[in-house]
Amino acid sequence: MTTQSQMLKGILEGCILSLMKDREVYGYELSTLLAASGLTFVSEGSIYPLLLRMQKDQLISGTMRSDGGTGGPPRKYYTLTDKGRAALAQFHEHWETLRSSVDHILSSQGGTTS
Amino acid sequence: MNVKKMIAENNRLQAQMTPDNLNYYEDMVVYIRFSKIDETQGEELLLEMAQHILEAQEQGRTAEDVFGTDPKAYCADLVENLPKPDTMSTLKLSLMIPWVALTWFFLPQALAGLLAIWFGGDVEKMSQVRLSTLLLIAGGSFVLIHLVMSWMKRTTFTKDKNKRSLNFGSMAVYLIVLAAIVGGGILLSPMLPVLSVSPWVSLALFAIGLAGTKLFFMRA
Repeated sequence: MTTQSQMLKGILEGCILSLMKDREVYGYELSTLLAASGLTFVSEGSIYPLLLRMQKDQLISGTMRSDGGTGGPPRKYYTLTDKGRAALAQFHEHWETLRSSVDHILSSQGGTTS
Repeated sequence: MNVKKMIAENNRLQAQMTPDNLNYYEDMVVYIRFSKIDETQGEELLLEMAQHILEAQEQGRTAEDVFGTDPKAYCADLVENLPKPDTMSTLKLSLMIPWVALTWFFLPQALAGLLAIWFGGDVEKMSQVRLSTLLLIAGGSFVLIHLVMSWMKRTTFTKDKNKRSLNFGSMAVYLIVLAAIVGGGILLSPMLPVLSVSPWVSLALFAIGLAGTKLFFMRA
């Protein structure tokens, strides 16, 4: 795997954790939420191997059940585990550091060229 | 939701797919079901993907748009990330086929013996069971089923379903194993005892085997 795709995977994982922070999400819904946020580098199907790995790492847990309110079909809903919450907090921290560093470099470079 | 219900729901969803999507999805189903993975997790995943395909289908996107042009590599990635089956279910899967094969061996054995009793045949001869025969049935059925399973898995995702061919390399390995079992059985045959199993005992063994199949292997 290339460094770039590994980095994107890490970012995608952080985004998925964040989308599940306050509510349960199912697979298709997750892909629409990601697409709606403009994360176009993510191919739709790539969420499933990632969801499996995140379950294996116990960051999220999934349960099959029908949507009680609408009586919809049985779906697998995902939520964060405690470990997932900790991972999300860590992702936030790393992202803030990374973003401010990158912003700093870009703005200082931008300043010299313009 | 148990596995049986998930499979029923899965079949219901498959019926709503377009022929192209169904074609694509069916291969995924075969590949994943024939992989050594935790059955419940595997069925949950298959159900999720079927639902995803149908939602995408409604918006004019195909299964290939969703999961890519290389479904085999994609499924291999999924299988790698799925939990492996626990020891108990692996053991069950390995034992099931020899168990069923031996169970059904005893039905004709019992019938032949009973016919001999009722119509005056050589009951003693009909009651003889070579231990080597039993070993051959158990070993042979085990190898054969693994051969079929691996062939099913390997030949999924072949574009033209009529062109699915046997992989002679792996076929040869299985055939050699099978030949070794048969050859070993024949060689061992004179050394192994011949059991005398009365027709009624055979019938009882068949019944026990059948009950065991239901009890150990058929539970939802």
